Amino acid sequence: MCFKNLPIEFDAAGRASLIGGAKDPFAYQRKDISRDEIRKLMEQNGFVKSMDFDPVTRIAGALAFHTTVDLKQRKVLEAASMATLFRGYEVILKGRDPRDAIFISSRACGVCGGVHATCASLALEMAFGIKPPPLGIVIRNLALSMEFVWDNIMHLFMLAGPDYSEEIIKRTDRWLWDRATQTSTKFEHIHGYKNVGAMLTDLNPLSGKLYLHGLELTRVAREGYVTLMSKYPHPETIVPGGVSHNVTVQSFNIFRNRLMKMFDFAKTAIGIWEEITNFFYEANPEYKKVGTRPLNFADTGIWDDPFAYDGTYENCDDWGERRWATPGVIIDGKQVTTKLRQINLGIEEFIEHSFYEPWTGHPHKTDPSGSPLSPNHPWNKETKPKPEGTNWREKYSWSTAPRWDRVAVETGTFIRMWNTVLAGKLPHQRFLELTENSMRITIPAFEKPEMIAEWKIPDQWNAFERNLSRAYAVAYNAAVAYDNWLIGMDLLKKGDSRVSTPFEVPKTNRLGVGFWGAGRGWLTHHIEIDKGAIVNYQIITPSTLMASPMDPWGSPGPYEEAVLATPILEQFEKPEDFKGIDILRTIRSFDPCMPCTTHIYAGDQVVTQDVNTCACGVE
Amino acid sequence: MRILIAGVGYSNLSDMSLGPLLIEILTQRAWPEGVEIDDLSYGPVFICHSLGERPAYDRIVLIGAVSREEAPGTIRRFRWAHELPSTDEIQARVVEAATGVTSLENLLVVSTYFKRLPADVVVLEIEPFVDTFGAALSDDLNALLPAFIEELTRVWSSPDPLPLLETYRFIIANPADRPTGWIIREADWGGSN
Repeated sequence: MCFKNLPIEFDAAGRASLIGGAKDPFAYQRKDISRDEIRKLMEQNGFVKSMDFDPVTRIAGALAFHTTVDLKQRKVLEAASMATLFRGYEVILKGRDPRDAIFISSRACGVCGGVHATCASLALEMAFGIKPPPLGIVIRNLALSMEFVWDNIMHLFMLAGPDYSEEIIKRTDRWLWDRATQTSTKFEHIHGYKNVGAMLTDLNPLSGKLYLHGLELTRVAREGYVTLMSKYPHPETIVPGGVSHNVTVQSFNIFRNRLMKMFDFAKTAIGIWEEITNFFYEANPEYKKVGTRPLNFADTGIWDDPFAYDGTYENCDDWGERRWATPGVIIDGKQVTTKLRQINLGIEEFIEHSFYEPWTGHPHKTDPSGSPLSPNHPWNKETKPKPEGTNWREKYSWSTAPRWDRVAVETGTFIRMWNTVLAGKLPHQRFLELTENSMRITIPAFEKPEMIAEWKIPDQWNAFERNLSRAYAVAYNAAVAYDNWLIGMDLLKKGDSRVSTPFEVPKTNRLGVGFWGAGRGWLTHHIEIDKGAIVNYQIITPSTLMASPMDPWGSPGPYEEAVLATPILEQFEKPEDFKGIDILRTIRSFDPCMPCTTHIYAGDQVVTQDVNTCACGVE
Repeated sequence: MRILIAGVGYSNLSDMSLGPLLIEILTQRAWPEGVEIDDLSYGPVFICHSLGERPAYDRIVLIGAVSREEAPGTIRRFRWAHELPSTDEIQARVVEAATGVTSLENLLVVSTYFKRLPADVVVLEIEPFVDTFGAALSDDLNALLPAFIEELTRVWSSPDPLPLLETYRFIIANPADRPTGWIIREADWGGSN
């Protein structure tokens, strides 16, 4: 039984049905949280301060964060995550030719357009009843794994990295910097630094060697990407049923040349982030609580087996488990499912604390296999934006509150490794080996010798482990790419250079869902088409899951949970000196990507806004 | 003389997409040797990487639509002052650039910081009539295109840098970081209405 809260049960054959008896089985009672206690504390105690980070900088897109902090007790009392822009793409796509979904949804993000385009193509393949030839799938896997490599490097060295640099540590925790200058490194053989302080200096924004090297490598990774996808960030060669351009051994070799450079940097990145994590833990074990939250995770898996994927909903449990990243949901540290259909049944979106109006329809009582669907499931959801004033008790975000089995779940590039390890089903073990609690990644030699990196399921989960795991994920992504590169070369050698399959847009009513992933984890596109046009289109991004506001039961979203659990360790003499670095490290460890649209849609009125509203955040 | 004429802007935003849409038109025309037409409507960090791979330009003309709360259709011509804000502000712009924000101002700040621009950089921009979702320019802006292209021709083909009418400076997020005495405005704007 994978659900504890949804009224769905499964028989011995795995068939789902509603638990009998309830008249309105998916109904729920909203629970409101009182803010009176917080208000009273703020009035009585000068150390209880409200602190807003608007915008949260060094992330992609528009996120603001409201906190109330007790600076004497060094506790966060209240946390509210605000997506400050609405992505109007679900509204824009209604009524359009389904093929437009690939190109329009790609624009939902200025970093990972390719993942949206690919996710849309998967949704269309399911709705159209088509599948790409093997090489078409290989090209998708190659390009997207390269995109994740650069995305993860960018986060580690340009976005989150500066939080651990000399420049920032000197501003917030001078004692930590003094300690760093006197601490010898443990992983010099991997990253080449003898002293922790010297390494943190090279993380300085704009001038640090690691920062600048990371920036340069994003170019190399993108060169690999465009070799196969022709354009970044919005490829125009992704089509339902594959890709629209041919590849050659030559283009494959250009890709490989770029990929090998990533392997070398992956080795360095792992060494650097092992060092940072160790240094902070030893300096103060309380850092292990920064950004901690319950072990509730979800991911749809990614990278299809070119010989197993058939694009159907009927067989998605099977082809899902053949992926290089096994789909899965983990609740309280235990994996409860690896089946894509169960993952799909469990997802709902709530809008009690979001700037949307509720919808009343429940057009799809079941999924295409006859399993019960909640009225809050994306196939039933309607996007009805309703801008209004911000109120912490009522509505305060443009993000909805997606929940799996009514639980707030975290996703991420490392949750893929976590799920894959716990499932133990990985069919592709050329560079990846699973143990009971770890993934061993063979990182091939290039300028640096071959290295076997072992990512272990962490004993604790926090901001540091997120960043460290992301460094291992660079190696994981690159290893998946290399495995696919070898498969692709083999196909080319055999003369199977087909990359797409013919199709027609069906005129009948169809449902489809793209189960894919972004650099930051879970990505789904749910589509309904009829008479050759889109009836409904719903996107759930990783940051929708994680930046979500409270749900109807008053439970916080993942960012909020993590900030509420974060101790204030920063050193300051007066409240006005407080910079909130522990809170910012927590939020940035999730690698927030508030999709970079600049539209606000309000009925007939669309207003264009700058992404950043002001700069009152702490830096 | 190597000259780059480049559009900057998001797609599908009606008049705000002037940069990429005009570049589509300009690439259909014949250009003298040494003049390149390009669409720079992507993250400025990536643009820096691309400019770093090319032989240096003597002049870059950037075109796009920007809302500056002036009368719709106003055409503005600026010279980039090559002045940079604080390092925190530059870092913020680099992050925006790396995470996909497309904007003239980010492009100018980031590419100046990474030393990718020639001394002669001109920005030619227009105040949009319509900034809603849409694949095409408004009729009003379409009617102004000949004037805009005429001004563009005057700028790119001038043998020497034109006497510049206004010094372009970026709009930064933190007003406290804004130096005083920024805008140098002179009369007689070519092509404004």
